[in-house]
Amino acid sequence: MIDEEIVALIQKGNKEKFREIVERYETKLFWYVKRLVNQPGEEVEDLLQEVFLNAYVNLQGFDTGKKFSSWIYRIAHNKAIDYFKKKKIKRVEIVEEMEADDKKLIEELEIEKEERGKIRRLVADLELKYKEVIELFYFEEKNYEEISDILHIPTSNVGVLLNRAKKKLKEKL
Amino acid sequence: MKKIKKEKKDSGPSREAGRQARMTKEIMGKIIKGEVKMRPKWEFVAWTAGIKGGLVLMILGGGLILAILIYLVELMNLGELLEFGDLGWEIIRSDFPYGLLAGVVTLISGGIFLYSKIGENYKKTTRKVILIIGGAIVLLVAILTIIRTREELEILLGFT
Repeated sequence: MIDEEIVALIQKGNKEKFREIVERYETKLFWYVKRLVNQPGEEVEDLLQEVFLNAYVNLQGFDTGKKFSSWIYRIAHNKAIDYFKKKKIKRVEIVEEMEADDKKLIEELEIEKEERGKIRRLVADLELKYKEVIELFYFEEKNYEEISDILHIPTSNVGVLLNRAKKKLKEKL
Repeated sequence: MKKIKKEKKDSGPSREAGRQARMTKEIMGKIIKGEVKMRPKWEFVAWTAGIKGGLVLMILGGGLILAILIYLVELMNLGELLEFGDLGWEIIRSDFPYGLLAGVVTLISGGIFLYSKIGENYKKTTRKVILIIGGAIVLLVAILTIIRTREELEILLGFT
């Protein structure tokens, strides 16, 4: 059963089906939010719980003709933005080592072997608008249309942001 | 710059599974107990209808006020007044319908704000923008025509 069909059932009153939504998205969204806010796991879990509860509360406003994954990622994006505003965080120093686990990005940036380990750290250190577009395209494997729906920016701007983000990464390397 | 503590990785199948189970249990507990409730559909429908209705009213109101403003400015005969130099400027400054101008600016700003609240406006294409601008011009011309026709009618019927 696809996400939108499950959501349609929940909208009709089958609350229990929301469990499937949580199970499908928990891991994906946990890492997405964690990479955006660069905070310890417990803090990310709290944020993620807010994302799911917010999604549930507003589920009747979701149009099942659209893509549910973009809708819930949008909520996660908004929560991350709210978090930055609330905590007044402008920049976070990343102490934790992160692995470079994306071959596509490494190939596109033509990164030397010895520099591959740095890539995740450099992505995490980018400005939020660049970081997010890189995260969504390379690590969450979303296409331009989906990124446009998540970030609420025109599809053409997604390409522009991606190119700028890659340029910034190359400069840092 | 805020530093974060070095922490153990949150990965690993058992750790992930444990976190997921805990999260699911907490969320579903709140939902099943009714601590968290879905907002009813009519609220979303009413909200969208309100925004769209407000947008239409603002476009109509803005168009009408803009048409009146243009009409009044035309009546002031700016060309002639400017020939009088500083005195002409003084008359323009004192007689200009600032209230109407403020009304137009307010309604246009309100319209833009409401438009930004309508879902997927970020997907606006050039065609949509042309359509909106074209529509606004047609509306303006229509309102100006109505005002002028009425003025001519009034002259014809001897009301002025």
